[in-house]
Amino acid sequence: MQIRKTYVITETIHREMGQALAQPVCRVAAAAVLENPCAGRYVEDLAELVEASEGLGAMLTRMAVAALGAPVESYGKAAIVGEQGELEHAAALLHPRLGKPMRDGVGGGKAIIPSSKKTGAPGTAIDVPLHYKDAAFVRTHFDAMEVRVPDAPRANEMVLVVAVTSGGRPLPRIGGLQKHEIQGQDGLR
Amino acid sequence: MDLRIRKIVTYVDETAIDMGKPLARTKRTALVAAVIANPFAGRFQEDLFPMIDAFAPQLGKLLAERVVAALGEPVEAYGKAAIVGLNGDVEVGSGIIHTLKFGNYFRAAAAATTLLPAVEKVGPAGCTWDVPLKHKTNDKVRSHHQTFTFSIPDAPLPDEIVVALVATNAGRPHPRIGDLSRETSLLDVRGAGP
Repeated sequence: MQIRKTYVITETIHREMGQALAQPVCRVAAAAVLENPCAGRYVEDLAELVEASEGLGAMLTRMAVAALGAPVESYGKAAIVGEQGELEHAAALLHPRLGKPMRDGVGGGKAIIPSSKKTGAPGTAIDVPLHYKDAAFVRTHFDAMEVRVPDAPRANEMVLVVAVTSGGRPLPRIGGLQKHEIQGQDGLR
Repeated sequence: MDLRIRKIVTYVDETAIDMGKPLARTKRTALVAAVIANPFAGRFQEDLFPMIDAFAPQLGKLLAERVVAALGEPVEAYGKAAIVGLNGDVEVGSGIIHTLKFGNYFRAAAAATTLLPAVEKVGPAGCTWDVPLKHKTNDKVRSHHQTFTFSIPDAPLPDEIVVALVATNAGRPHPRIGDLSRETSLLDVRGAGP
Protein backbone atom coordinates (compact mmCIF):
# COMPACT_ATOMS: atom_id res chain seq x y z
CA MET A 1 0.00 0.00 0.00
CA GLN A 2 1.28 3.46 -0.93
CA ILE A 3 1.94 5.85 1.95
CA ARG A 4 1.28 9.42 0.95
CA LYS A 5 2.61 10.75 4.22
CA THR A 6 3.08 10.12 7.92
CA TYR A 7 2.09 12.50 10.68
CA VAL A 8 3.19 12.28 14.32
CA ILE A 9 1.63 14.36 17.08
CA THR A 10 3.25 14.64 20.49
CA GLU A 11 1.24 16.15 23.31
CA THR A 12 2.82 16.89 26.70
CA ILE A 13 0.44 17.91 29.48
CA HIS A 14 1.98 20.12 32.20
CA ARG A 15 -1.06 21.68 33.88
CA GLU A 16 -4.73 20.80 34.16
CA MET A 17 -7.54 22.83 35.75
CA GLY A 18 -5.06 25.21 37.37
CA GLN A 19 -2.99 22.43 38.94
CA ALA A 20 0.58 21.60 38.00
CA LEU A 21 1.10 17.90 37.35
CA ALA A 22 3.73 16.23 39.55
CA GLN A 23 5.05 14.66 36.35
CA PRO A 24 4.08 15.76 32.82
CA VAL A 25 2.08 13.19 30.87
CA CYS A 26 3.00 12.59 27.24
CA ARG A 27 0.69 11.19 24.54
CA VAL A 28 1.78 10.43 20.98
CA ALA A 29 -0.25 9.51 17.91
CA ALA A 30 1.52 8.28 14.78
CA ALA A 31 -0.61 8.33 11.61
CA ALA A 32 -0.07 7.05 8.08
CA VAL A 33 -2.05 8.39 5.13
CA LEU A 34 -2.57 5.49 2.73
CA GLU A 35 -3.99 5.02 -0.74
CA ASN A 36 -6.87 2.57 -0.36
CA PRO A 37 -6.59 -0.17 -3.03
CA CYS A 38 -10.21 -1.19 -2.34
CA ALA A 39 -11.73 2.27 -2.76
CA GLY A 40 -14.82 2.68 -4.91
CA ARG A 41 -16.02 -0.91 -5.17
CA TYR A 42 -17.17 -3.85 -3.08
CA VAL A 43 -14.20 -6.15 -2.46
CA GLU A 44 -14.94 -9.50 -0.82
CA ASP A 45 -11.41 -10.58 0.08
CA LEU A 46 -9.53 -7.88 2.00
CA ALA A 47 -6.29 -9.87 2.29
CA GLU A 48 -4.18 -7.09 0.76
CA LEU A 49 -5.16 -4.73 3.58
CA VAL A 50 -4.66 -7.38 6.26
CA GLU A 51 -1.17 -8.17 4.99
CA ALA A 52 -0.18 -4.52 4.78
CA SER A 53 -1.23 -3.92 8.38
CA GLU A 54 1.72 -5.83 9.83
CA GLY A 55 4.40 -3.61 8.33
CA LEU A 56 2.35 -0.47 8.94
CA GLY A 57 1.80 -1.44 12.57
CA ALA A 58 5.50 -2.00 13.13
CA MET A 59 6.44 1.30 11.48
CA LEU A 60 3.83 3.43 13.26
CA THR A 61 4.55 1.88 16.65
CA ARG A 62 8.27 2.47 16.20
CA MET A 63 7.61 6.12 15.31
CA ALA A 64 5.22 6.63 18.21
CA VAL A 65 7.47 4.99 20.81
CA ALA A 66 10.47 6.98 19.62
CA ALA A 67 8.56 10.23 19.90
CA LEU A 68 7.21 9.29 23.35
CA GLY A 69 10.68 8.87 24.79
CA ALA A 70 9.36 7.08 27.89
CA PRO A 71 8.00 3.63 28.79
CA VAL A 72 4.57 3.04 27.29
CA GLU A 73 1.65 2.76 29.69
CA SER A 74 -1.49 3.01 27.55
CA TYR A 75 -2.19 2.25 23.92
CA GLY A 76 -4.92 2.55 21.32
CA LYS A 77 -5.51 2.43 17.57
CA ALA A 78 -7.89 3.97 15.06
CA ALA A 79 -8.62 4.38 11.36
CA ILE A 80 -10.51 6.86 9.23
CA VAL A 81 -11.77 5.75 5.81
CA GLY A 82 -12.35 8.22 2.96
CA GLU A 83 -15.73 8.50 1.30
CA GLN A 84 -15.05 5.88 -1.37
CA GLY A 85 -14.05 3.30 1.21
CA GLU A 86 -15.89 0.98 3.56
CA LEU A 87 -15.52 0.65 7.33
CA GLU A 88 -14.63 -2.99 6.78
CA HIS A 89 -11.43 -1.73 5.09
CA ALA A 90 -10.54 -0.06 8.38
CA ALA A 91 -11.40 -3.27 10.20
CA ALA A 92 -9.02 -5.20 7.95
CA LEU A 93 -6.16 -2.88 8.93
CA LEU A 94 -7.02 -2.69 12.61
CA HIS A 95 -8.06 -6.12 13.84
CA PRO A 96 -6.41 -9.22 12.32
CA ARG A 97 -2.67 -8.45 12.41
CA LEU A 98 -1.99 -4.98 13.81
CA GLY A 99 -1.88 -6.17 17.40
CA LYS A 100 1.29 -8.22 17.34
CA PRO A 101 3.65 -5.54 15.97
CA MET A 102 2.05 -3.01 18.31
CA ARG A 103 2.59 -5.22 21.34
CA ASP A 104 6.12 -6.08 20.23
CA GLY A 105 6.89 -2.39 19.79
CA VAL A 106 5.67 -1.27 23.22
CA GLY A 107 7.40 -3.97 25.24
CA GLY A 108 4.40 -6.25 25.48
CA GLY A 109 0.74 -5.64 26.27
CA LYS A 110 -1.77 -8.12 27.68
CA ALA A 111 -4.91 -6.08 27.20
CA ILE A 112 -7.05 -5.87 24.10
CA ILE A 113 -6.02 -2.74 22.17
CA PRO A 114 -9.02 -0.39 22.15
CA SER A 115 -9.99 1.03 18.77
CA SER A 116 -12.28 3.31 16.82
CA LYS A 117 -13.06 3.73 13.15
CA LYS A 118 -15.12 6.12 11.08
CA THR A 119 -15.69 7.49 7.60
CA GLY A 120 -14.75 11.09 6.99
CA ALA A 121 -13.58 13.89 4.74
CA PRO A 122 -10.09 15.40 4.91
CA GLY A 123 -9.45 16.91 8.32
CA THR A 124 -11.92 14.68 10.14
CA ALA A 125 -10.92 14.17 13.77
CA ILE A 126 -11.12 10.78 15.41
CA ASP A 127 -11.07 9.97 19.14
CA VAL A 128 -8.51 7.22 19.61
CA PRO A 129 -9.55 5.31 22.76
CA LEU A 130 -6.78 4.48 25.24
CA HIS A 131 -6.40 2.15 28.19
CA TYR A 132 -3.62 0.60 30.26
CA LYS A 133 -1.77 -1.91 28.13
CA ASP A 134 -1.50 -4.67 30.71
CA ALA A 135 -4.92 -4.47 32.36
CA ALA A 136 -7.89 -2.84 30.64
CA PHE A 137 -9.75 -2.13 33.88
CA VAL A 138 -7.12 0.19 35.42
CA ARG A 139 -9.36 3.18 35.96
CA THR A 140 -6.72 5.90 36.03
CA HIS A 141 -5.92 5.21 32.40
CA PHE A 142 -9.33 5.26 30.63
CA ASP A 143 -8.90 8.11 28.15
CA ALA A 144 -8.97 9.17 24.49
CA MET A 145 -6.79 11.25 22.21
CA GLU A 146 -8.40 13.34 19.47
CA VAL A 147 -6.36 13.13 16.27
CA ARG A 148 -6.77 14.68 12.85
CA VAL A 149 -4.65 15.00 9.71
CA PRO A 150 -5.68 18.25 8.05
CA ASP A 151 -5.67 17.04 4.44
CA ALA A 152 -6.59 13.37 4.94
CA PRO A 153 -8.24 11.07 4.16
CA ARG A 154 -9.14 11.98 0.62
CA ALA A 155 -12.00 9.96 -0.81
CA ASN A 156 -9.68 7.15 -1.97
CA GLU A 157 -7.46 7.14 1.12
CA MET A 158 -7.38 5.83 4.68
CA VAL A 159 -5.65 7.13 7.79
CA LEU A 160 -4.27 4.56 10.24
CA VAL A 161 -3.35 5.75 13.76
CA VAL A 162 -1.33 4.14 16.55
CA ALA A 163 -1.35 5.96 19.91
CA VAL A 164 0.76 5.49 23.04
CA THR A 165 1.05 7.34 26.35
CA SER A 166 3.48 7.66 29.24
CA GLY A 167 0.69 7.80 31.81
CA GLY A 168 -3.03 7.98 32.56
CA ARG A 169 -5.34 10.97 32.77
CA PRO A 170 -3.71 14.16 34.13
CA LEU A 171 -5.32 14.29 37.61
CA PRO A 172 -6.93 10.88 38.22
CA ARG A 173 -9.01 10.86 41.40
CA ILE A 174 -12.03 8.61 40.89
CA GLY A 175 -10.76 5.48 42.57
CA GLY A 176 -11.05 2.07 40.96
CA LEU A 177 -8.33 -0.38 40.03
CA GLN A 178 -4.86 1.16 40.26
CA LYS A 179 -1.78 0.17 38.26
CA HIS A 180 0.01 -1.33 41.24
CA GLU A 181 -2.98 -3.54 42.13
CA ILE A 182 -3.16 -5.58 38.95
CA GLN A 183 -2.61 -9.32 38.62
CA GLY A 184 -1.49 -8.69 35.02
CA GLN A 185 -2.34 -12.09 33.55
CA ASP A 186 -5.70 -11.89 31.83
CA GLY A 187 -5.30 -8.46 30.26
CA LEU A 188 -8.32 -7.22 32.22
CA ARG A 189 -7.27 -6.90 35.87
CA MET B 1 -26.14 17.52 45.07
CA ASP B 2 -28.79 18.07 42.40
CA LEU B 3 -28.52 16.60 38.94
CA ARG B 4 -29.62 19.27 36.47
CA ILE B 5 -30.43 17.95 33.01
CA ARG B 6 -30.81 20.63 30.36
CA LYS B 7 -31.87 18.19 27.68
CA ILE B 8 -31.86 14.59 26.48
CA VAL B 9 -31.04 13.69 22.89
CA THR B 10 -32.08 10.39 21.28
CA TYR B 11 -30.80 9.29 17.90
CA VAL B 12 -31.55 6.12 15.96
CA ASP B 13 -29.67 5.01 12.86
CA GLU B 14 -31.20 2.31 10.63
CA THR B 15 -28.76 1.15 7.95
CA ALA B 16 -29.95 -1.11 5.11
CA ILE B 17 -27.18 -0.87 2.50
CA ASP B 18 -23.40 -0.53 2.80
CA MET B 19 -20.92 -0.17 -0.08
CA GLY B 20 -23.78 -0.85 -2.49
CA LYS B 21 -24.61 -4.22 -0.93
CA PRO B 22 -27.79 -4.76 1.11
CA LEU B 23 -27.38 -5.94 4.67
CA ALA B 24 -28.85 -9.32 5.65
CA ARG B 25 -31.02 -7.41 8.16
CA THR B 26 -31.35 -3.75 9.03
CA LYS B 27 -28.64 -2.60 11.44
CA ARG B 28 -30.08 -0.36 14.14
CA THR B 29 -27.96 1.82 16.44
CA ALA B 30 -29.42 3.97 19.21
CA LEU B 31 -27.73 6.73 21.17
CA VAL B 32 -29.17 8.56 24.16
CA ALA B 33 -27.29 11.54 25.62
CA ALA B 34 -28.05 13.65 28.67
CA VAL B 35 -26.72 17.21 28.75
CA ILE B 36 -26.13 18.11 32.41
CA ALA B 37 -24.72 21.00 34.40
CA ASN B 38 -21.14 20.45 35.58
CA PRO B 39 -21.25 21.29 39.30
CA PHE B 40 -17.50 21.92 39.34
CA ALA B 41 -17.19 24.07 36.23
CA GLY B 42 -14.46 26.64 36.52
CA ARG B 43 -12.61 25.14 39.47
CA PHE B 44 -10.55 22.16 40.53
CA GLN B 45 -12.51 19.81 42.79
CA GLU B 46 -10.44 17.18 44.58
CA ASP B 47 -13.16 14.97 46.04
CA LEU B 48 -15.48 13.81 43.26
CA PHE B 49 -17.11 10.91 45.10
CA PRO B 50 -20.20 12.66 46.50
CA MET B 51 -21.02 13.85 42.97
CA ILE B 52 -20.31 10.40 41.50
CA ASP B 53 -22.51 8.67 44.06
CA ALA B 54 -25.32 11.14 43.38
CA PHE B 55 -25.14 11.39 39.59
CA ALA B 56 -23.90 8.01 38.36
CA PRO B 57 -26.90 5.89 39.40
CA GLN B 58 -29.48 8.44 38.21
CA LEU B 59 -27.85 8.86 34.81
CA GLY B 60 -26.98 5.20 34.52
CA LYS B 61 -30.59 4.16 35.02
CA LEU B 62 -32.17 6.86 32.88
CA LEU B 63 -29.84 6.40 29.91
CA ALA B 64 -29.87 2.60 30.05
CA GLU B 65 -33.65 2.36 30.03
CA ARG B 66 -33.98 4.88 27.21
CA VAL B 67 -31.29 3.50 24.95
CA VAL B 68 -32.53 -0.08 25.19
CA ALA B 69 -36.09 1.12 24.51
CA ALA B 70 -34.94 3.26 21.58
CA LEU B 71 -33.05 0.36 20.03
CA GLY B 72 -36.12 -1.84 20.29
CA GLU B 73 -34.15 -5.03 19.58
CA PRO B 74 -31.66 -7.16 21.53
CA VAL B 75 -28.38 -5.35 22.13
CA GLU B 76 -25.29 -6.95 20.60
CA ALA B 77 -22.63 -4.26 21.10
CA TYR B 78 -22.41 -1.19 23.32
CA GLY B 79 -20.38 1.78 24.51
CA LYS B 80 -20.46 4.98 26.61
CA ALA B 81 -19.19 8.56 26.46
CA ALA B 82 -18.52 11.58 28.67
CA ILE B 83 -17.76 14.87 26.92
CA VAL B 84 -16.90 17.74 29.27
CA GLY B 85 -17.33 21.41 28.35
CA LEU B 86 -14.36 23.73 28.20
CA ASN B 87 -14.71 25.05 31.76
CA GLY B 88 -14.33 21.57 33.22
CA ASP B 89 -11.73 18.85 33.50
CA VAL B 90 -12.05 15.42 31.99
CA GLU B 91 -11.93 13.70 35.39
CA VAL B 92 -15.43 14.91 36.27
CA GLY B 93 -16.87 13.18 33.20
CA SER B 94 -14.73 10.10 33.71
CA GLY B 95 -15.94 9.88 37.31
CA ILE B 96 -19.57 9.64 36.26
CA ILE B 97 -19.12 6.87 33.70
CA HIS B 98 -16.33 4.74 35.14
CA THR B 99 -18.16 3.16 38.04
CA LEU B 100 -20.40 0.12 38.36
CA LYS B 101 -22.96 2.52 39.80
CA PHE B 102 -23.33 3.86 36.26
CA GLY B 103 -22.59 0.89 34.02
CA ASN B 104 -24.43 -1.91 35.78
CA TYR B 105 -27.84 -0.50 34.80
CA PHE B 106 -26.81 -0.83 31.16
CA ARG B 107 -25.43 -4.30 31.67
CA ALA B 108 -28.64 -5.40 33.37
CA ALA B 109 -30.88 -3.83 30.72
CA ALA B 110 -28.83 -5.28 27.86
CA ALA B 111 -27.92 -8.63 29.46
CA ALA B 112 -24.26 -7.72 29.13
CA THR B 113 -21.11 -8.66 31.00
CA THR B 114 -18.07 -7.02 29.46
CA LEU B 115 -16.00 -3.90 29.99
CA LEU B 116 -18.14 -1.13 28.52
CA PRO B 117 -15.87 0.73 26.08
CA ALA B 118 -15.72 4.48 26.45
CA VAL B 119 -14.63 7.82 25.05
CA GLU B 120 -14.02 10.84 27.28
CA LYS B 121 -12.62 14.23 26.47
CA VAL B 122 -13.02 17.97 26.88
CA GLY B 123 -14.49 19.79 23.90
CA PRO B 124 -16.51 22.74 22.65
CA ALA B 125 -20.21 22.67 21.91
CA GLY B 126 -20.75 20.94 18.59
CA CYS B 127 -17.57 18.88 18.76
CA THR B 128 -17.71 15.44 17.26
CA TRP B 129 -17.00 12.39 19.40
CA ASP B 130 -16.44 8.75 18.49
CA VAL B 131 -17.84 6.09 20.81
CA PRO B 132 -16.00 2.76 20.59
CA LEU B 133 -18.35 -0.22 20.81
CA LYS B 134 -17.61 -3.84 21.53
CA HIS B 135 -19.63 -7.04 21.84
CA LYS B 136 -21.56 -7.08 25.08
CA THR B 137 -20.58 -10.56 26.35
CA ASN B 138 -17.34 -11.34 24.51
CA ASP B 139 -15.02 -8.46 23.75
CA LYS B 140 -13.00 -10.59 21.35
CA VAL B 141 -15.83 -11.08 18.85
CA ARG B 142 -14.20 -9.27 16.00
CA SER B 143 -17.24 -8.70 13.80
CA HIS B 144 -18.59 -6.39 16.48
CA HIS B 145 -15.63 -4.02 16.90
CA GLN B 146 -17.20 -0.78 15.70
CA THR B 147 -17.60 2.93 16.43
CA PHE B 148 -20.50 5.35 16.55
CA THR B 149 -19.81 9.01 15.78
CA PHE B 150 -22.01 11.80 17.06
CA SER B 151 -22.20 15.50 17.87
CA ILE B 152 -24.75 17.79 19.50
CA PRO B 153 -24.62 21.26 17.99
CA ASP B 154 -25.18 23.16 21.23
CA ALA B 155 -23.54 20.81 23.73
CA PRO B 156 -21.59 20.63 25.89
CA LEU B 157 -21.67 24.33 26.70
CA PRO B 158 -18.60 25.36 28.72
CA ASP B 159 -20.26 24.57 32.08
CA GLU B 160 -21.85 21.30 30.97
CA ILE B 161 -21.12 17.60 30.49
CA VAL B 162 -22.65 15.27 27.90
CA VAL B 163 -23.10 11.70 29.16
CA ALA B 164 -24.21 9.14 26.57
CA LEU B 165 -24.84 5.46 25.95
CA VAL B 166 -24.84 3.70 22.58
CA ALA B 167 -26.40 0.32 21.74
CA THR B 168 -26.57 -1.58 18.45
CA ASN B 169 -28.36 -4.75 17.33
CA ALA B 170 -25.57 -6.10 15.12
CA GLY B 171 -21.91 -6.20 14.16
CA ARG B 172 -20.46 -4.22 11.28
CA PRO B 173 -22.52 -4.31 8.06
CA HIS B 174 -20.44 -6.83 6.07
CA PRO B 175 -17.90 -8.31 8.48
CA ARG B 176 -15.36 -10.43 6.58
CA ILE B 177 -11.97 -10.19 8.23
CA GLY B 178 -12.14 -13.45 10.14
CA ASP B 179 -11.77 -13.95 13.85
CA LEU B 180 -9.07 -14.70 16.37
CA SER B 181 -8.93 -18.37 15.38
CA ARG B 182 -7.15 -17.36 12.15
CA GLU B 183 -4.18 -16.15 14.18
CA THR B 184 -3.89 -18.80 16.88
CA SER B 185 -0.13 -18.91 16.46
CA LEU B 186 0.04 -15.32 17.67
CA LEU B 187 -1.90 -15.89 20.89
CA ASP B 188 1.27 -16.61 22.86
CA VAL B 189 2.27 -12.98 22.46
CA ARG B 190 -0.65 -11.91 24.64
CA GLY B 191 0.00 -14.50 27.29
CA ALA B 192 -3.70 -15.28 27.36
CA GLY B 193 -6.03 -17.61 25.50
CA PRO B 194 -8.93 -16.65 23.24
